[in-house]
Amino acid sequence: MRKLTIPLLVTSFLLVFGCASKPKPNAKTEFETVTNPYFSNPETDYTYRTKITVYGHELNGILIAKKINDSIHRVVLTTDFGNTLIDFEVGQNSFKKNNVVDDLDRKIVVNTLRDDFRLLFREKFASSELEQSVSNGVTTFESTDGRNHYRLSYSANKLISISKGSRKKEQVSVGFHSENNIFADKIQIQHRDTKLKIEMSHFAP
Amino acid sequence: MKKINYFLLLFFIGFSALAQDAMSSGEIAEFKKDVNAASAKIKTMTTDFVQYKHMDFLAKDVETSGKMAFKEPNSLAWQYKKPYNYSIVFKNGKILINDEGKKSQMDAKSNKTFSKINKLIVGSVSGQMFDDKEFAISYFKSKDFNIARFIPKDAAMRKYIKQVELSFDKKEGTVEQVRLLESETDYTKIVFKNKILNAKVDDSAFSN
Repeated sequence: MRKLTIPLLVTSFLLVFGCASKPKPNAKTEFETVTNPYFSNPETDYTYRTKITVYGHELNGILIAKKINDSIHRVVLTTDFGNTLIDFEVGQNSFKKNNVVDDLDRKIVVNTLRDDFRLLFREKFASSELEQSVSNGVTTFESTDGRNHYRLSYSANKLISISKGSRKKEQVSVGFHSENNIFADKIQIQHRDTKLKIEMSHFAP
Repeated sequence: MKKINYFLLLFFIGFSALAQDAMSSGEIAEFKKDVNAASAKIKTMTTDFVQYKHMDFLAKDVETSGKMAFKEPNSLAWQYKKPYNYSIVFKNGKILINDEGKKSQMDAKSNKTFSKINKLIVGSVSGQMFDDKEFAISYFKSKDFNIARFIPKDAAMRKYIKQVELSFDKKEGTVEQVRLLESETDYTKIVFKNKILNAKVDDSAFSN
């Protein structure tokens, strides 16, 4: 956490004072905060028809997510009949399992979903100037947080993907398609090493 | 402070008692007789439905809707049309699913919980649940409905469904609302509308 806080603090100071004075030649690298806006409104119930494919098995249902306070999202997956399959409270540094059906209550399943939701809901990433690049109209920001390396891509100012892994190898990626830049109409979470895919389509209930 | 709580408690007990009264044994017998008579007459049923998933932390219930068809003895089709197309048919121990055009099938018997849920749904639609040994049943009446409350005896089932509440039309003796409680605060409510009894329902309604 501290590792993240310091760059964020530096960033905010730079944002406030950055324009006032010229950077010194040996000034530290400037960090920019890049954001994922798609689950950030605490007023919104985000509802998605969702398909989870694990090693050929399919699970369909409705995924409901909501930001319940500054640092926590509640996420519930139900069947089409409304029976709750999972009910988690996910923060970047906290996790609470309110409910999970027996069939899914395996450590590996719960931990994988927890990490996927953490990635999906995380709003802020710090990226240094040196870690930004533009290619074919896509701006890519890289961000390192502890051992994790993130890559966020934007096209026409809209976030289109976040990936997570080591610097050398991507482990999981989240692709977004958004019309309005307020929420994502379609989301796809894809794992590289495990045959796990989560596909989500937004609906307005 | 204790005193206030005590009064609040009394108030709520009084309030809920006003809203829903337990039936007397005579009323229960009468009610069961009415529902059994009504369901004995049901050969087919088609109805529209609206499903509300209520969770306390949400601003609005998650609402889905569609059509349901039932044909004796145990063919049942749920067809969600809004906001997405999804249909599920229970027929001859099989569960047939059509998800936005993508079809799949499973054996209801291979999945105990699913087959219990299936039995419960068929039972709740046709009203033939009162002899079910899987549930502890209690009976209530409100202004508009006669209400039967089912609590699963099986602990494994109770993890998924804490309680099922069926609200019956007082005159017709048919189910108007199903409420599946998952916790004290969260439930799924299904409300039936435009019910048609004993019209011809083609087998294709259950082909998926």
